[in-house]
Amino acid sequence: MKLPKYQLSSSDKLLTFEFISEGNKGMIHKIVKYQATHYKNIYNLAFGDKDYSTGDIDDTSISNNGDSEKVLATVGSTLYAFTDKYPDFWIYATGSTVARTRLYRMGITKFYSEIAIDFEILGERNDDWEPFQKNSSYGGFLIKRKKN
Amino acid sequence: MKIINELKKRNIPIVKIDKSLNKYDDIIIFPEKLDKANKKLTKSGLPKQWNK
Repeated sequence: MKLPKYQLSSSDKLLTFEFISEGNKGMIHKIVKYQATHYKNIYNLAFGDKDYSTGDIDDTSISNNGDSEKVLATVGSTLYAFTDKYPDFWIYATGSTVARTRLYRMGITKFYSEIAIDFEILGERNDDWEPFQKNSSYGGFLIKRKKN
Repeated sequence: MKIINELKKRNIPIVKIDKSLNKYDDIIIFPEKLDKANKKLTKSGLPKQWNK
């Protein structure tokens, strides 16, 4: 996706990423974490704010720094880095609220033609999975890198 | 330059390794989100597409 993104830092294993959001509320350190779920080869993608002075992570804050599209594009780029290292893993993602999940769905819809080149995307609806359809309402997403 | 062009072609971001982030790898830093993910995956089950 040819969108503006922030510079990424990562742990050695590419499980934890960090970037700095710059906007109308200043500089906010963001952490993106891929966490192993109970299911083999399925990792949960989550992100939140890091307190730069303490290193504590806050996954409930709403920073509203005016750069949501750039933040989402940067989080999306971690998907490429993570799945480049772990090509057989699935990634589960959902928002902390219905509104946030809708925001993610809108982001996927907006760039679907590009994303679908590299990723298989399933949407969760009525406790079942289906291939992602634009503008459909989903509770969560399963994403896997295609073997091109 | 050749490597950078290849990375751009494959949409792979240039990532700086920061060893101070290693400490987060082995801890659950978003416990509620992980719990929610596990519950949703249990409720929905795994995709039928995987059984094809």
